[in-house]
Amino acid sequence: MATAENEAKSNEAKALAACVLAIAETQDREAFAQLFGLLAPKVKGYCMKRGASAAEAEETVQETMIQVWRRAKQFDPNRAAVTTWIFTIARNKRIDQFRKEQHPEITEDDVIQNMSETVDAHTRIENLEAGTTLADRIRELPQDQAEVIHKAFFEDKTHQVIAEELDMPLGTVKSRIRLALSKLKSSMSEYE
Amino acid sequence: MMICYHPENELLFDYASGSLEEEPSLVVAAHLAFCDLCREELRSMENLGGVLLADSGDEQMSPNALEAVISRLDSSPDASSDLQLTPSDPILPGPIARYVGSGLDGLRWRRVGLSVKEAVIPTANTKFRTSLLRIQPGTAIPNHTHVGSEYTLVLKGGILDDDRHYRRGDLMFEGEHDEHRPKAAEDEECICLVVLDAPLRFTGFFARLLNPSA
Repeated sequence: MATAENEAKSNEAKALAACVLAIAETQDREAFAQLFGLLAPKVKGYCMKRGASAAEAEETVQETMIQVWRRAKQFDPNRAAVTTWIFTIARNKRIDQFRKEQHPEITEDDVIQNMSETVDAHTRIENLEAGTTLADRIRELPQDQAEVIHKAFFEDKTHQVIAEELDMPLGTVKSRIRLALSKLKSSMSEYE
Repeated sequence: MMICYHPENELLFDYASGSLEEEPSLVVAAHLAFCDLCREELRSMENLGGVLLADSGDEQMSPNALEAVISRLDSSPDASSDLQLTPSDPILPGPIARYVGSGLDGLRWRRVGLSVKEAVIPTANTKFRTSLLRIQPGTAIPNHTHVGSEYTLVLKGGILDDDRHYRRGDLMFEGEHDEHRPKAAEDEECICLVVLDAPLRFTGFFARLLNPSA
């Protein structure tokens, strides 16, 4: 892929992060308006792809952006891209709005130390930076693998439901998900 | 001590995409509190969500949308009052502690058989039964086969199943038709979080105990 395109994406990611930091530090409303302008249409698009009406999608956008304002201080640019952070907020707002249930979360404060193998900082950074090329890798996935990813993220379906719907053994759906994830992951290390 | 038994990748994937129901999500979230590896897996899956969101294509917002949100900002308290306070508990990880509030001793425990106590945790879907169990050391469950799925997260003590030893932070998943013969470890009381799918037909390790007609 062209380096210029990579650079543009990386600059865009930095601009988004700068907006969130400005909100966190000085309750900057202009930064909020800028962030809203860049991301609200995407969140709306994402919700409508998941079957929400325009009005419902706008409601999710509102709730999501208010949460962004309130939780800006908790955003850590070293841990996640802004789009990833906002994805998790929008996901939870949707669940709350449409399924009337919670998405039990894990916060940094919940972490119980020294219970598992640790992941080195290098991997974390790879993970963080990979987002910029990941989009292209998703488009390159074979259709059968892309299909399960899309059904999970856009149609709110568990791998079990996907298997039933595609009339496919559970094992096949599982291996497609695994193949897709490992492919996306290897693209992350290539990016380094 | 080391986490040995993790959620399958697909379960974590369903949690990341938001398609997994609240009850199994609680088991996954509680495991994540213990497990650095799964948190990192989750991060890369959520990263994928972020990319799909950014790639979704824009839908134009209605003209007064920004104004409407901004007018609500002032009445929105900031995060300090927004975040649910997590009671600190030596046994319960944050995601469970937020459901329970009062800690283990404040719960209403009901006796199930001679050697098990259960406290039900209220959740959104009646399709699932979510409980904390306290099991006497060495309690064995007869050989059985599953009808629904059962998710078990060990919080204290251990569970032995064939050659597997599940300890604090380990997740045991029993799918439909799985057959086995688990038992609580001998050395100390076992406390675990259990989520049963299709509890009306339950026949699993704990389901069998909890089923009133068993």
